[in-house]
Amino acid sequence: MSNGNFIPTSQARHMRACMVCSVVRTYTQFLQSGCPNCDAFLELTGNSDAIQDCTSQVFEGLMTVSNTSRSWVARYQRLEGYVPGVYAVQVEGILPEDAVVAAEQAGVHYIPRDGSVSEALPNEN
Amino acid sequence: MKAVVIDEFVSNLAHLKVKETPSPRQTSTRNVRVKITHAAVTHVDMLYAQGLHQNNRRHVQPPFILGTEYAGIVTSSPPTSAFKPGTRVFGGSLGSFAEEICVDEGDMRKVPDQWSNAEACAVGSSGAVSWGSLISVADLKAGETVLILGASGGLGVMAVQIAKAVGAKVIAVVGDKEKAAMIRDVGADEVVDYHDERWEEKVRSLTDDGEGVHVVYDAIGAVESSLKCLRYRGRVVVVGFAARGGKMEEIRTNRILLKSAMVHGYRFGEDGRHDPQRIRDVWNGFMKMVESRSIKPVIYKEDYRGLEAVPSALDGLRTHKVWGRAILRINEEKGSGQRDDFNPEPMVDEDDVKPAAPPKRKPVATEDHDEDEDLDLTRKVDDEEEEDDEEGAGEDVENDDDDDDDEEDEDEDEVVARPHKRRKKTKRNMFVDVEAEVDDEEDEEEEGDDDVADEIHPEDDIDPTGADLDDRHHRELDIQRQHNAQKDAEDIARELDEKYRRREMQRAQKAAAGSVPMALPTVNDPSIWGVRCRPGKEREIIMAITKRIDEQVRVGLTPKVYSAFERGGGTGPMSGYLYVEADAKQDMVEIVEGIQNVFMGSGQIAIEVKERPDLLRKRKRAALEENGFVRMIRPPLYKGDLAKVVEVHPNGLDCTVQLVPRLDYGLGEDANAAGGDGNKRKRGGNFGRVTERPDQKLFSEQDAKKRHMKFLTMGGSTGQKTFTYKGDDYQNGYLIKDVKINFVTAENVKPTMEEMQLFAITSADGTETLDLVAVQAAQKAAQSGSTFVSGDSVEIYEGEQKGIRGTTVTVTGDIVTLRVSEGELTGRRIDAPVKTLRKLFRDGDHVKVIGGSKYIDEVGMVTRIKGDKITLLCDSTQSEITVFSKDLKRAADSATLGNDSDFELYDLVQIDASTVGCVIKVDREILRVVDQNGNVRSIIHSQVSSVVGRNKNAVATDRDGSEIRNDDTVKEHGGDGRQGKVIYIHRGILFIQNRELIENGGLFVTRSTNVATMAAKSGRAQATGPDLGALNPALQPQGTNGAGMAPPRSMGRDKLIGKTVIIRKGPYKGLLGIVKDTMNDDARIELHTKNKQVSVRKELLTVKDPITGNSMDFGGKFPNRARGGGFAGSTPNYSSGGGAGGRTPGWGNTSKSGPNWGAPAGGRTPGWGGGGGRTPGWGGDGGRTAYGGDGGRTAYGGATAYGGNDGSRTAYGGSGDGSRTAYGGATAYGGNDGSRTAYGGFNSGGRTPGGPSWGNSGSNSKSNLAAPTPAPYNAPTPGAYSAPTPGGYGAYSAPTPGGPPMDAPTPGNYAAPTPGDTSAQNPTRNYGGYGGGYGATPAAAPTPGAWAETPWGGAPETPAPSGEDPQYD
Repeated sequence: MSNGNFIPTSQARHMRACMVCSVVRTYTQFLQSGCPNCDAFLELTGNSDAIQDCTSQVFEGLMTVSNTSRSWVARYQRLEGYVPGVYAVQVEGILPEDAVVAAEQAGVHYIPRDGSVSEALPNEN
Repeated sequence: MKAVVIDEFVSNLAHLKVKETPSPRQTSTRNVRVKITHAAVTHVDMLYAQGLHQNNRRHVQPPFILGTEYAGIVTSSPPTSAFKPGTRVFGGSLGSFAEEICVDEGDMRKVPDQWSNAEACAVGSSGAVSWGSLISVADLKAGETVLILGASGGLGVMAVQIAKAVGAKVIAVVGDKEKAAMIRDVGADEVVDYHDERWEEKVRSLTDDGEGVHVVYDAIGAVESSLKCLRYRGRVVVVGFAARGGKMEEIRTNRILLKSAMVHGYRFGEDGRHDPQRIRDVWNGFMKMVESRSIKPVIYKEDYRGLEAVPSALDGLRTHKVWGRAILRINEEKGSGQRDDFNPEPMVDEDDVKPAAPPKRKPVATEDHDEDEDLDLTRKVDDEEEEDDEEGAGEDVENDDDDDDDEEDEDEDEVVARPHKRRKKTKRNMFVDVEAEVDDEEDEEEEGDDDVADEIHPEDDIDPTGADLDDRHHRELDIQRQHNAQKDAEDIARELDEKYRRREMQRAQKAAAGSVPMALPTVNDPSIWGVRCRPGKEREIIMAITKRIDEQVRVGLTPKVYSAFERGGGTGPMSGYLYVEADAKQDMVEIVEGIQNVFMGSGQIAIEVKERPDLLRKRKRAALEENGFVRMIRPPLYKGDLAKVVEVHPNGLDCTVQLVPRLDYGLGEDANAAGGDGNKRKRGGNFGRVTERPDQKLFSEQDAKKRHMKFLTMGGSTGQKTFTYKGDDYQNGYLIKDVKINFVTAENVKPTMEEMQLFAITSADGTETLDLVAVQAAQKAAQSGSTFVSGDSVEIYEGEQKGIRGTTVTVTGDIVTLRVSEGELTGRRIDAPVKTLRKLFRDGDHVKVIGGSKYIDEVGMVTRIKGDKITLLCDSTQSEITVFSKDLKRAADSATLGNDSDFELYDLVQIDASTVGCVIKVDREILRVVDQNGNVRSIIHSQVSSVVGRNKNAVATDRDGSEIRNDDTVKEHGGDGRQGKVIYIHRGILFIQNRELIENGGLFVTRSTNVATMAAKSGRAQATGPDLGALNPALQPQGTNGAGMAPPRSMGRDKLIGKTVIIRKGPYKGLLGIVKDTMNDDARIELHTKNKQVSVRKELLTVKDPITGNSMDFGGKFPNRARGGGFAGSTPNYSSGGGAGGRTPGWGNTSKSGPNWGAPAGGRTPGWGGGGGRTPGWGGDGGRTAYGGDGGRTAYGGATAYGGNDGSRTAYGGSGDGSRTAYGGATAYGGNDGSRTAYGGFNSGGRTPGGPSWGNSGSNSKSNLAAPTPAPYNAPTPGAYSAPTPGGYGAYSAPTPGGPPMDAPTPGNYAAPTPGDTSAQNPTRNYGGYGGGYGATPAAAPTPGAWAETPWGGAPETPAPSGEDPQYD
């Protein structure tokens, strides 16, 4: 259980999604090992405040990805380069300003995953 | 610092490791930092370490620091705190197997002076638990005997001492000799070993009278045994279930009954939550005992030194070796060891207070362990079910809720930190690492100290003074600080370095990944299949797939499925599907096959490349606006309810909503349910069931106080009453609740009027007003394209195309196509969503303010437009106001006022299902109405469901019982004595209008029973009370008795039907028609003249021969007539003469008289003869008609004989009335017939005889005739009288029956009588006879009958007969 991405049903209610990368883990997992993709700047490990601020219990669409580069779904969701695991399609919530800044500084361009920003850039066809 | 950290649950306690970990952070201003000197090792810790405790499911999850009870020294505290640094404290909080702990000051207590820290730690809260159960619950008294089960455990030793302190006799039950000795030492009077097979009997025998003990203190969960030891009406307090070996006891409840026992559970922690005061009392009670030095802590002999000893201490506990409390010494320094002479001893937690396991089991550690696990697993399963239930019921909205639930789950006996504290503690501070290193050094020192301390006997221990402690700890802190300073720079540098390296990596990674815009799918990408599954189970399935992928990765395979996802969330259009991305279908099938709830049978849909992006399209959540309305989705209790958003939290995830609560204030609770955890039960019970939810009602303090006072706390701020009830806040009656934004929806809110009413704002003066801004907003949300019609000039005011103006061309759903009329794009058509459009106004437009400003609802004319600001001249105030154009809408009708309203003054409108109101003021958007309760409210038009209108038939009763109808004038009785005209009556409520009143447009509302009628509109008779006469049977018209038997009705089809008749009277007089149908007295007649059917009384009809147009006698009642008819009909006979002959048979019979008559009858005899002879034939006729018709006739039945007479006599019948039965005899004269009928009448009385005579004497008849005739007239006064009367009748009444006689006969009568009279006077006997007959006839109806036609036939006829008569003669 510790290495896999599986979250038992009983823990499903504690699932949270990272607002930056949309990875879905339980609160405890975040607390324990942070966000596997964003911890460098979000610093969630052991920081429950940060977890409260930067992860969201409100998300929609659950996806499991085993290969973030081969999978079109993952690429479309901008998950390429992230670790394989469970992600959310849409994450509600507003990332605190400082976290956004931290992300930018870490070279991560933060695009909200709540659908508020139109992501369909080349949608002309 | 060092601590026993559980990163992962262990199965073997020996694997517990001491680690470096950051010191706990201070998370609140009430936090006190404590340096731990001692920690108790309890059963709870054992379970926590293995993840077997129920709390492990949610609250206590790795990583956390083990340990629940501690004693230590305050190292830092807030300035306001009662615990100054250096204070010795003890308490129970998670994380005690560490060197430091941060605890809320409310959760700790000072160590009493007489105790060492170790002792305080050993007592912990177990003393209070025992005190509470024995004193507070069982009410143990001096002189009673108490049995302590599990006496050697942490709780038990306290219970024994407390019981002794109270003055009770104590029998302790323990598991071995060592413990027995210990417990005797502690104060038990008697000790019983439960390995003794009949230990219960032994206990009983040890009581003073052998009846058993008064009280059992059961810490091990052995209620049956307890009951065996108990005396009648004893008490059992169940405190815990230590060492039940995995099975909860099943109690045969009859045993409770037989002993009249009281079995009482005691959950210490839960009590604390429900009734903090009680817990305070318990603590105070216990601490008093402590002060009186009656309590001696019991520490297990073994010395557990340092955190490294945790595993061995736990093992001691597990193998039931431990008695009392096992205490760990932590952070030991010089001097402290002395205090802790009685070195930490493994001790049993309250839970563990258990008799040692039976010896045979003892050695089998693993077995024991397994059993424990079993126990816990069972619990776990139960709990999980519960949790599932909760999820199903979805009541848990927030984390806090969860916490509450879990608090309830906690085992009371275990003193564990509250969840929130736990959470705080588990937060770790990265900056505190340095401290930990210092601690290491200290530890080493301590260990050295311990050796020394070991040699010191407990009793030798002397408490260090507080000052000593202070000093020492301060020094300690100084050292720490120095270390920190040294380490800081280095550490920080390293940390930063590391951080930035990682960041660098991340960046590189990102670049590689190209945080690029989403790549659209191509054919080279893996395919995606849609798979059917059970809706609602999507996430579970995704997790199951995750598990399979994990599995594959673990064994080194590369998963062939790249991803799988769902978008259902249980409700959306995509629920019931999940999507799997793989190169080959086979791969996809393999990964999902066999997963529960996946429907493979229906096949999988390959999603086309083009459609794939749609699968992942994000749906923007409708933004929540403060003060806007939303609908609740969860919790189920409020599902679908309207709520008002009070606040949206900055993280965008939570919001605070205002709801109308649905509470039953415990009224629905099972009164017998075990107290305390009712909440949990309820939730469990609700699972999967649709339970009725309480109605929406504002929070009522009174109701809450009735049964749930304990859950209610008040916190009124100025002017607003605020309550906290069962963990929720209520303000002004509304529930104020924090929910996640996905628990509410702002889409399709469409609040109904009733719901809006609940959110009416009650202003200071008590009137209720709606927040129209919010209403408008809510309604606007439902706006659709239908508000735009082709040709409107509109402007796009939001989005990229903001500012574009145009004219709408088409409207499709929510998309409006407009032709741009200004700017570069002029002439082009663009589509825009309705919500980004607003109508464009021009100078002079008549507009209305619909929101956004205080001018809402003002109407006016646009005078100036500047940007999006529009100035308008208000119609009402003639002043200019400036508002944003978005807040305007074109007034429905710009020319006339109020024309856009569907309502008129004084309309009665339906406000909601149970409320109606009368409109007293109509504004454009607002109606002011007086509702049925007399309240005046303002509502918007759309809130009125319908105009009720006036019910013409509405009736109410005033206080006098008079009826009130609309438009009556009534006056209030009492009160203001207002009077007015009733304009509406609604269920006993009157809406009364009085033009002289100013208030409410002259309208007031009152109950109908409160008014007296002044004047009824139509001058209806005022009630005079009920008509008693109608109720008195004696006054009722006599039915059969008084009125005599009603004439028998003729059965079968009415003969009248189909006849041609002429109407003699009434509006249709003179019209000819055909009888289509008849009722009692009426006939439906189809008129010949008009195509119309009319109802006419039968008596107004004359039957006509359809061919000849002659009248015919007819009618059920007037057999005579019938006869007459006969005659009439017979007229032909006459004419035919032969016809008469034909009848001859009749004649034949009559031949006797016949001759006489026969001849005379000549022509008409036939008629007559017929009368005689025919009888049979006539019988039919005459018989029935005549007789039948007439009451009396029946008798005549016999008369049939005279059938002949009939015709005529029927008349008699009439006259004969009563008498005729007598005539029965008359039959005889049947022969006389025709003529004499009159006689009949006359005879009535005596003539029967006469009758016969006549019958015989054909000739006589004359004489008879003669005789009688005169008789009536002359002598026989009686006759005369009787006759005349009948005559009278004949003429009038009799004929009356003849009905026809009236018309037809009358003439006949007159005509006839005259002759009759004449004849009577006429000497001509014969003739006279006849004449008399006839004359009489007049009297008698019959004649008329006979005559009747005559007249019809033609007056001449009469003479004719007369004329004939002579011939006879």
